[in-house]
Amino acid sequence: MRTISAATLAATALLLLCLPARAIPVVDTGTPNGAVLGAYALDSVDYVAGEVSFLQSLRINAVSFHVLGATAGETFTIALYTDSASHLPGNILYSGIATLGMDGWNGLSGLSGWSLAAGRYWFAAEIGPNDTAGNGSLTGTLLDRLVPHPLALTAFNSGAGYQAAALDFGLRVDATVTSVPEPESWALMLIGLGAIPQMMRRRRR
Amino acid sequence: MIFRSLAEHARSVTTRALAIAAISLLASVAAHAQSSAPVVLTFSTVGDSRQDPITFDKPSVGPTLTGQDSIWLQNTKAFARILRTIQAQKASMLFFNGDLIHGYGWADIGYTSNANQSAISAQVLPTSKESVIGSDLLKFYQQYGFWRGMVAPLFETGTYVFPVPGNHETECKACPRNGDGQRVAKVENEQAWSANMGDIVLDSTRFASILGAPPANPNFGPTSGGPDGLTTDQSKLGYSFDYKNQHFVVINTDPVGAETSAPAQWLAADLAAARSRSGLQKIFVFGHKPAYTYDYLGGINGQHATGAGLDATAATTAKRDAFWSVIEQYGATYFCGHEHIYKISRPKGGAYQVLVGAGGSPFDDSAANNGATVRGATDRSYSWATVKVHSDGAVDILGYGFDEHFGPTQLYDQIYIAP
Repeated sequence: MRTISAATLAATALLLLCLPARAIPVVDTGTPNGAVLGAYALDSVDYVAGEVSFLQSLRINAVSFHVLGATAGETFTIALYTDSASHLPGNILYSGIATLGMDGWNGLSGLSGWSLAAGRYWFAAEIGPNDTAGNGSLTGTLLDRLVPHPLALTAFNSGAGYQAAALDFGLRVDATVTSVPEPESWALMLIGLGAIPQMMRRRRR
Repeated sequence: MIFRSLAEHARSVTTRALAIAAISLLASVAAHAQSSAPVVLTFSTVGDSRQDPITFDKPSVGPTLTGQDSIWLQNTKAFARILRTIQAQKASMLFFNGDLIHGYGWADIGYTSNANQSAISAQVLPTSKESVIGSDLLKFYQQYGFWRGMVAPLFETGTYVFPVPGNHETECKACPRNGDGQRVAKVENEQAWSANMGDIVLDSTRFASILGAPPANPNFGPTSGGPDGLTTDQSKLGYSFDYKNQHFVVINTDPVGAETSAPAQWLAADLAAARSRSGLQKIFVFGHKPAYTYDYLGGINGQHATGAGLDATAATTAKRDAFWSVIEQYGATYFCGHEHIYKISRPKGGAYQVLVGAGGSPFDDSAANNGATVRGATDRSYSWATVKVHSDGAVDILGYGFDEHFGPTQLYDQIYIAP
């Protein structure tokens, strides 16, 4: 049986470490039911938000909400908040204006600079003063419901501030893990690398 | 072999999935057929925002009323939220289908109803400040003032408000009933309405400044006498007009001497005249009492909600039938309140009755009733309708609301009416 040499293993490990980081899904509620009846209104006084928890530092690449009543070219706002002491959207960290395409997942992509330390955050879908979502839609802009994996903590704002409520709208977030390995991880890797000559010597014997 | 079988299976599954998707799509189109013509007019309608000092809905608003709502008897939290969402939906008109105040007394000088309005004093001219402050007359004006204050910002931001009189504005709860068992309306209550609402009943100048053109073909309500047997002038309590090729009619369903009835004869003449005008597309009629009571109890545990509307008695039902014949004959849609609940229906399979009487008043379907039975999911929701009229005359009626615990706003219904 052919074995892979320790040197090859070490080279592969180093190569993997050097590969550029890829965006991966870090939040995915699954796709909601596509029904307009029962869907949440998204207008200039009705917003929704959901809390997510990250265990590592991240750079957010894309955020999207599942939207119905979309009219191509209209806009809505996606905002990222800190988690307040009362577990509601706190201070705003980042926001961006998303352009609607068609019914389905709509949001922001190619984000840069939305960097987050490990912790809890809120992603919100809102209609800002310059947004146009709902203007061309018969039903107004809506967020359909009944996702397979609803977020544990959600909130809505009906013009009087965010308040907690169990909501089940669709949210997807893609991000790149930006964590620097902890000292223990570095130590383990160095020990491993140090053991390679020993293993090679044993094999030669 | 096995791979070919799997491939065939996959094709079969795919074909079935596509077929199901196609059927679903067709069903969806049928259920939500809509006009591609642009929307030329958006209006909203709701009724019954008044609060009750005794029977307020504790599961929804809490164990006590706020100091404010206990004085001015509004469900301010629910009504204010409905108003701001209606404005977010860019409605240029709001028809408020009655019971905007608690009222329900006798707005003449010297009458005072007790707290639960089970009794009313004899007429005694006030002799002290307290007797003035406690009088029904002052309470009517006080409550009207608060409601007008709540809707005043709408006029300033692009929404004209059209008031519709309800039984709490016109009738006296504690006064002796008429021969048909109905509560009686008082001319002084109608006068209080005119004094507090008359200025916005088809104010052409204000109408034009908000809506871009004055109301066309205005018709002020029935006068006393006439085929409907009315005993008082209704010119500020009922009215009609055209706007953007649509005809709008406001009626009083509790006029003095003809309580719990609609002025069907006046309405028939008004709608006939409207239909004779070229280019007219749709007719929308707004009143307080439903023509057909929504039986939200549905016979569960042997219970029914009956006789809450114009179908209260045999005599009023006969008048109701005449009224509904007019609605059906002219292809109108009837919007109403009175029952504090939400229900869009086609009582006779033709015209729609849009019941949006949950604008803040205590829900008819009590939380206790809801306990062990299955009811309509929206029966305890604060709700309203926003109507979109297309240039081709097609109409979409969109029912919106939020639950008794003030949850997120949701779309409840989407009803399409073809041109």
